[in-house]
Amino acid sequence: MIISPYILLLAIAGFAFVIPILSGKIGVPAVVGEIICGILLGSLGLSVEGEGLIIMEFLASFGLIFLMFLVGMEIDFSIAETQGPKSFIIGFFVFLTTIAISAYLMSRLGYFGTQYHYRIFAALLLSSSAVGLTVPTIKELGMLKTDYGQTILISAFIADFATVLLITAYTLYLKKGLTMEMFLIALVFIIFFAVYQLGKLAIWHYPERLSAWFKSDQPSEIGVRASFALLLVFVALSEIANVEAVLGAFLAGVMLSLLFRGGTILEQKLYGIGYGFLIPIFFINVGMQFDIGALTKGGIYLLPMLLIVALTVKIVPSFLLIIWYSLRESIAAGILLSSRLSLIIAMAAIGLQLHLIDKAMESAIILLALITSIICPTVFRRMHWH
Amino acid sequence: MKTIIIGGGRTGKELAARLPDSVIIEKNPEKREKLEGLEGVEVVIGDGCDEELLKRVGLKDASTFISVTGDDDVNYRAAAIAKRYGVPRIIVRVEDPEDRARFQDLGVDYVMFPTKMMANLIVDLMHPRKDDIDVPFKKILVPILDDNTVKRAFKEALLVASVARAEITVISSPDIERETMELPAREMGVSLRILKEDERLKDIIKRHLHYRGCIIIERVKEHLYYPDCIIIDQEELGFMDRLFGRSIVLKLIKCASRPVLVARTFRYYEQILAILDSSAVSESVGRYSLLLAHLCDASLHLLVLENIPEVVEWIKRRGEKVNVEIIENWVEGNPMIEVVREVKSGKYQLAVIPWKGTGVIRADLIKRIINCAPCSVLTVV
Repeated sequence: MIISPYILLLAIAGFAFVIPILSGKIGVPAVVGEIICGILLGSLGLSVEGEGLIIMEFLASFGLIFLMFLVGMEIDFSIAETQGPKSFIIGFFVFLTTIAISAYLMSRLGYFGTQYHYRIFAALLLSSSAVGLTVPTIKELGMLKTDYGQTILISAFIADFATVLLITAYTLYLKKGLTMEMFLIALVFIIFFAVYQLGKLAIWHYPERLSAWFKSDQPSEIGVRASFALLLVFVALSEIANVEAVLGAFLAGVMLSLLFRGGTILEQKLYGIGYGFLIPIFFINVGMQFDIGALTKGGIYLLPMLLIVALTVKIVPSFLLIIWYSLRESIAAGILLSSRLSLIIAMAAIGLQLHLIDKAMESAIILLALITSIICPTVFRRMHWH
Repeated sequence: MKTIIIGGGRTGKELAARLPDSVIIEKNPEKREKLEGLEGVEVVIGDGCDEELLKRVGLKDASTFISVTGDDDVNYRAAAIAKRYGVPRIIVRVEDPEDRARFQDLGVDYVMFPTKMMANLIVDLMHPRKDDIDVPFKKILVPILDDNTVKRAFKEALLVASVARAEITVISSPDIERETMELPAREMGVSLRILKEDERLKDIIKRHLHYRGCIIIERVKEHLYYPDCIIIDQEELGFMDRLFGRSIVLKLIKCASRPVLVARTFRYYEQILAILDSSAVSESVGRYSLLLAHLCDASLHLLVLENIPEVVEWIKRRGEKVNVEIIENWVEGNPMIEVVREVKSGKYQLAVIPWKGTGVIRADLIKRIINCAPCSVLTVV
């Protein structure tokens, strides 16, 4: 049934309002509820067309960009300062082992036939984690300031950061080959470093002006405006450099985190805009685009395999932790790191656009995210119940 | 090295007795007899604010001018004349703490508040140890790199040591005159050790300090001395130094594992800023800043970055007991920006901050504060 985009927006807004309340009561992440509602809306056959379709697609894709921006903001580099390099070294080796096992398993499964780049993309996808789930779980169990909790957090941060980087580099390589354009990623990072240095200088020299950005009584919302400008600078830069816009958005988020970590009022405003409006549109849209047909035809059969791989690639590397922690703690860390949510869905959407995965695989990945986001944190909590 | 003392009361007499080659100016002729017994001390009866008289007794050649009468106005006018004639070191006694700002504006080197200091001392004696109010440092190490820094880091070390009743050990390069340090230390009643004859130490300083600041601390710790605070002069860093992290001060702080004070104020602290968050080091930050505020009779400003009512209450309770005025400032906006704002506000003579990033304050910012703040910075490990 073709409907006006405003009616669809109203339906999305209604769901976006109700879902967090319901999901809070049931004890599942709001994102899970949003995707399920999207599937329901999609199954009712609601759709928009013409200009309305363009608007909805833009809002959903901007929701994805904003989601990556907020994921970047969750990366907390101050952990490295407070914990020293040990946790980073562990996290780095855990990720290396993850990606090696993931690549090996994907090459063995034979689902992708001879197309090796499909396998590499899937291996990269499965190497990701879910910082957005790991942080609240660790916080809830009072482990945020423990060595063990920090090691898990850093492993999740490294996994997400490296996955975004590697997928961006890999998709650029697939689009352009091994050309000079690959160095454009380096250029994006050089500009990132330069902006970071300028930001530090600005904080030191103009604290009075910057202070107003973070105050709650700013009618012009200059902080929000500046954050959007920063986000769009990096997104535009990524477009110019021909790399995925999500990398730019992610780096803009990381930049805000690096420069202004703890600017809670501004963070809250940005989270409000993101999780209150744009991001639900993305996830509900993901649900609406969810191809139940593709799932029943092939995706559902992929799910057990994906689930096994997703758990294996995180639990096996976590045995490295046994040097410092108990066996139970190491396995529990692996299980928590196995949870996936926003990032894997966002990256799967990019893979689908670039035809690196098919509809069946995308639907299986979405289901995988839904299942692991509910089960893995619950199992982790149970293992640390004492 | 002449010293001129205004005021022949008990303090003036005591000072003159310890400082040979000094001139003491006393208004009351009846006191002449008592003062004339002091060996090597010239006694002049007259007004300490009389410029002509001061010139006659050698104000232009004086190395130190001390005004310790019981009248703040006399001390002020006398110090103003000495300042005009460029006496290198001016020390004044101020009875009324309300007069503090006037004397600070005059730009004298040391302003002493005997009334407040005495009151604080008596309170300490009445509550010995029980309140955990102790001196912040007992052994202060001043690694002096060259002649320029003698006047700066050492000067601030003297001020801290004089109120904390601490001992100073100076590691000096061989070309520095002992007398430039011994005389002011003697005048302020501070115990001083100068380690410069030691060949091994000279070698360490020459070869390593400029390149690897930490070596000196390790060696000092091993063989010579175990300080509980290091006071060092600020250093001038160029762009490349900042880019490549070439900072002796930062290296020293990194390897010292104890409080390090980067000296910039060179006078008694009147307002101290303590930066507090939920990190474990905040209690130490609070403790050191409270002790220093108590000893210097300064007000203590707490910049509270996170919700830590217990720590703030603890500091306030102790502050009340030891007569320290405490001003709370709970940050509403971005903690890092608010820290920069406060540190750069020019209101404080000393900022007490944690060393290392704490999660709320980034390590980069702490380094910047250490290297560029307009006030002295005490880093707490």
